[in-house]
Amino acid sequence: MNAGVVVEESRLALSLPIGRGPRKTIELNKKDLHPALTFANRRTDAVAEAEIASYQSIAENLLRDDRWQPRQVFVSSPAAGDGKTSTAFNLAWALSMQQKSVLLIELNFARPRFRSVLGDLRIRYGLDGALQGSAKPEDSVFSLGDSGLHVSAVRDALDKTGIKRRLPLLANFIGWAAESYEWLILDCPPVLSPAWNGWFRENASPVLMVVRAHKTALLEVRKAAQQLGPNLKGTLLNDSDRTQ
Amino acid sequence: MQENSVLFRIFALPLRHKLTASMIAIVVACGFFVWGRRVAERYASPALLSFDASTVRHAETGGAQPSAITLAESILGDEQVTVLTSHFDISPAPDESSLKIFRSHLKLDELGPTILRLQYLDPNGMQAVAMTNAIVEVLTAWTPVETTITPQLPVTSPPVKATYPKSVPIRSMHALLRPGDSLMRMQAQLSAIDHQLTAIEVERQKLNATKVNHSIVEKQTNTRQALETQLAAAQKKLEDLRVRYTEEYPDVGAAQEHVLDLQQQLAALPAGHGGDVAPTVNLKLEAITREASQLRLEREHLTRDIAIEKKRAREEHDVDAVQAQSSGGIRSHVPSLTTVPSTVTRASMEPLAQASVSQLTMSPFTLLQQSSYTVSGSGKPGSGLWLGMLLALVGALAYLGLAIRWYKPVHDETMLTEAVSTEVMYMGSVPRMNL
Repeated sequence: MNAGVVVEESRLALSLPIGRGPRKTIELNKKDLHPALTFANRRTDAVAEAEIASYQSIAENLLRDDRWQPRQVFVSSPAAGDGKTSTAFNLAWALSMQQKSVLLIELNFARPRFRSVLGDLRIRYGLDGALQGSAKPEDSVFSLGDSGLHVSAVRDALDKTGIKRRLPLLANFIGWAAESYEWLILDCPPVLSPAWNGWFRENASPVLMVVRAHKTALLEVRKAAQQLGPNLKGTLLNDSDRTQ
Repeated sequence: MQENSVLFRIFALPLRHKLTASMIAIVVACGFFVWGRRVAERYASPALLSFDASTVRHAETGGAQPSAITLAESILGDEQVTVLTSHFDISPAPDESSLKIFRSHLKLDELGPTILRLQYLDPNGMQAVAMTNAIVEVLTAWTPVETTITPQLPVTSPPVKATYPKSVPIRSMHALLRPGDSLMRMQAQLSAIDHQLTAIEVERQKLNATKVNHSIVEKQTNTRQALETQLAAAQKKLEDLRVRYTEEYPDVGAAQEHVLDLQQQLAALPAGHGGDVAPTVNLKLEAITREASQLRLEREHLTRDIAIEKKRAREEHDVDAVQAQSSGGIRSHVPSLTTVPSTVTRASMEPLAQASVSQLTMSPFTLLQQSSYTVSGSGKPGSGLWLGMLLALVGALAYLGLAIRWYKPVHDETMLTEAVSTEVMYMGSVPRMNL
């Protein structure tokens, strides 16, 4: 299932599904990737190494802790701009480095960002297409890197009506993904935003809440924690002054 | 530390708070700008007019004393307002709406029984001042309808003489006098002129009567001449008949009777002759007419000078009263304004009325202070904008300060773990990248 993979110094290989035929491998210029994707960029400076070490440590914690069952993590934050997407990417990459097959799923249908952080990647089918029934679930998944990381991105942003229509079908997709991959990392909308609707309140569990140091308000953290209740299983401090 | 810097904390605030602060700044700046324009409108000072109700008592209201506002509103009729609004281009097509706009913007206040405050409100201060002063001109130029008082002069009272006092060079005299004396002297001169005019009128009537008598005599002379001609013809006819006939002949008798009849008619006519009376009367009449026209001219000048002098005196009194009132003076000064000039006016007008001349017609409104345009502060219309911008900045910063205080950010894992339940696992931290 894992696609063929990367790795040159300046390029990142992706394996994309092309209709019913064999998957196609394309190469991305790394300078087009978002710099927050630490693993993909393969930076070698001390900060990048410390960051990679942090994500690896967090990944080990996830693997050790049995509260993250059924082996899925809903990554969210109190408000926008706290670093959910980059955390989800890097965490999924760190898990995949542990010889695990990981599927990173984009659930922010209103403001999808996966394609933009990958340098405006063009895909044929996205998660939205799979939920709509125009493609099979596996057709919406492309492979990234050389460590068994798979991504299901939203191709086109959806309006409220589209989101309402597709969210009930998401459970089937997640069920398929849980059977196909060992770990699911789900990038969610902010908890305190209108996009965090009833579906997330009922189904998003366990939740890893990302907080950006010196930016996310303490008040918002408390409100988000109160809203998530027992579904909140862990927290992660982004942009911390300390290194682990 | 970077995170302790105010700018960093402002930068770290959520976008919605930054937008809110920006909106506050914009609203405050715009609000102050608009308010500044309204303040400029206020600084278009009103005009002050004095009002003398006694001037219009007889003419306009049949004895009732009108208020200054009522009279001003009646003067500013639709036709007058249409001219004003057209001139100042308040409405391209003057119609009812422009009249309504004018009347809604016109503010009339009575500061006292004799002081009228007038102001035209307009967002454009210069326009407001121009319109206010134009309205003032309309009011001060208005005069009540002229009325003539019934002559009080007894027919036989002034001694009618063939000669009358010579007119005095009045304008040159009263110019040298003091203001208070000048008015009294001018009124005395006016009275004297009126006496002269009356005497001239009597003389003129007498000369006219003489002229009529002369025409009668002239007519009698003509009749006499005709009769004499007829008599001569009749006598000649009688002499011819006597040559041819005797005294007993009937034609001779009839001719003698005709001659006697004509002689009787001639004897019945009054004796005397017109001689050179007619040219003398005509010359006198011409001289009297010239003198009368000269006196009337002098009287007109004198009347105008008296009106100016009275206005000036009233202005001095009213300005003093307004100043006293504005500086917290005693309000009892105001009645003295109303009584003193009117009393003086009536006393001085008495001889005029007795001299059977028409009453002086002058506007009841006299200008005390024109409207003027002044801007607060440094005098520049835009200077308020800087203050508005400063206040906007202060307002925005105040909001951001409150937001920073309210939105205290999470600094470290201790704060984060304290903010959530103890059952929530702290998974770790990711160091800050210098992207």
